[in-house]
Amino acid sequence: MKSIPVLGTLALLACGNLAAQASEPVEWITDPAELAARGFDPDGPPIQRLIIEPDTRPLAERLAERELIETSVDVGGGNVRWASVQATDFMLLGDEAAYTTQGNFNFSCLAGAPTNLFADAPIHFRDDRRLRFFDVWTHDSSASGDVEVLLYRVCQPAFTAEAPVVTELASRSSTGSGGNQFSFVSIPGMVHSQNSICSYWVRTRFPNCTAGIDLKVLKARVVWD
Amino acid sequence: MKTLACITLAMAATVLGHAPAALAVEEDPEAIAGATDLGFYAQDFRSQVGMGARRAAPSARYRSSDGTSSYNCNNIVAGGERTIRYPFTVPDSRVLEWVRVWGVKGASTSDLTLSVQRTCMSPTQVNPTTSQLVGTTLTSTGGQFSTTLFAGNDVPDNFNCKYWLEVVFGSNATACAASHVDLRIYKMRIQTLMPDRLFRHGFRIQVPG
Amino acid sequence: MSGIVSLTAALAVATLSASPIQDNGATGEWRMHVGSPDAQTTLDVEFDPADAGIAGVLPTTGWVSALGFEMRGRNSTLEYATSTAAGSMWCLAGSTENFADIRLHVPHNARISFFRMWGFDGSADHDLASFLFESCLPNLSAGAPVNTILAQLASSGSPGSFTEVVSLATPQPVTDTQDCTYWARVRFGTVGTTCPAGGNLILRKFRIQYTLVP
Repeated sequence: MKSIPVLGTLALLACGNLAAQASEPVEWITDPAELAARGFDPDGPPIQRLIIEPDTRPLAERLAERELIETSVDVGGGNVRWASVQATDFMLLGDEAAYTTQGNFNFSCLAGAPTNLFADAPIHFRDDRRLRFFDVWTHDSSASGDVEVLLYRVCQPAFTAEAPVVTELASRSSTGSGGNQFSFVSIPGMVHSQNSICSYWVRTRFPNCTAGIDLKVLKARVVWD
Repeated sequence: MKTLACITLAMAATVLGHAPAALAVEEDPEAIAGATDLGFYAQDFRSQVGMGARRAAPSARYRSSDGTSSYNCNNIVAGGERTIRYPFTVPDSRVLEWVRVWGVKGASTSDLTLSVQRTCMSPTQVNPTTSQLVGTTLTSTGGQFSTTLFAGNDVPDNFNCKYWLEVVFGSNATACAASHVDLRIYKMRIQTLMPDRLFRHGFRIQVPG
Repeated sequence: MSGIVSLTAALAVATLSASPIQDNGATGEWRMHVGSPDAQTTLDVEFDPADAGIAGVLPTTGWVSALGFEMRGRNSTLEYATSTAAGSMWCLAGSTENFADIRLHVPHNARISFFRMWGFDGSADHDLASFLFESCLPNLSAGAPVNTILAQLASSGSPGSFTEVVSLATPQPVTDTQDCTYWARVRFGTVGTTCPAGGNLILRKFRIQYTLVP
């Protein structure tokens, strides 16, 4: 049904509010250091972030819930509920920076002059779907830091020019230095994809590029209802 | 039918958010708000942020520093490649209506040339045929812009053809801008139409876009 | 551990170069392919939508394609150029990296039946090689990527503009986009060398054809 996103869009347009839907728990990030840490202009406009309540349940219980939700899918994608990004889907945020996929469809930044710690990959969802989970696969064998993977949304009016409004929807980070890792987070509230006004992307944030292939982003995936 | 009506009306681009009256027939949210035009139910939007760009050559210099995943032209001196591309697919059983581009074009920036291209090649061909479906050049320097290109309700042929939006930041004879923040592509969006709603979720929904 | 490249499917695939007798675009294209050494020779059909009467309305067959300029270097050291008129990409002479990749957004649960590339090979001593990869990770747990070559193609000699196609061996792989992604890769020239001079190896387009799994 298109009516719901259309009306939602119109409501947002009418209110002049592209920032968030009413059911989205958000907070503003205004600290320049926090903005810079995410690859944003520290002197630029603030961005929003969904407030994610920590899920303290055991991982096994959370995974069991995920598997229960994942029912069979239709042929050809009618019921496909995920989208993923990987490897050269990512593009570093500066042309002089260096990366490698090792030929194995992962993504790492490399030390060089100059480096860039951030890379973005556009991701597309079916319209008007509630975004539920953000899944991240990483490889971390570096003692010098962790690699973070974040999901962002940028919204602008459907048919006019206006400053974009950015929202951080989810983030995951590798931990320790134990090698391959998987983690996921539930996207709180009722965050629905709105393709007429919003675009989505996944951002990687490396702590440094000297770690090289000790820090890899293997894949990121968004699952929706 | 609204979409057909707009063919004759909307070749012009909207810049800086000021849509000509003709264009409003196609995209005016107020018209959509009426909810009586069922044609909108057949329309879909797919977008990608600026950093989805494919650079025509490594000498197309860029930055993306404002956090919106915009593609900022960073050829701030003469020279370097100026073309980037955003390839896209229109699913079968749909037609390509509009391609819209958001960005920033500030003072003393090069003209921005936007075009929708289609290249086709059958299995018996080894040389492609590339056609420009629509193009426009932005010369304004007013800051944020939103402009649209009408692709003529082009019917996709995914067996043989592929589309892309081509963006050219001026010419390499001059800098594209004094600073990379002055000339940016925030995002691009395609708007497709399912001409006959009877086919919605029927044929070829498996073709990804 | 870095990913594991499995050649199991690739080794089961062989391609025959195009010939005028086999390649009849007006009535559908026939390609003979040889499966695993023990498999029977089979025939498959690369559909032309014109055969269906109404272009695009083939309920069980679809295509995903990528133009040459959509690719990005396997590493950032790839030096390349592109063409709008031909939708193509080529590697610049002396580039130490000569591989480029492009993601193919195939639908879920579809059987990949053909992999085709178009290009230009004007080099007598270098060829254009391409690969169709599947890259998989466990659904909800950590692991190393498992990368499988599903099909591969190569130009030979110096045919100039060319197209090559391979029919994937039976059983044809069925896509699983929940766990896997699908990629086309091109290699400009010979392994371990820099890109050859003259822009004589050009990748214009990849395409895969698939059929839906009932």
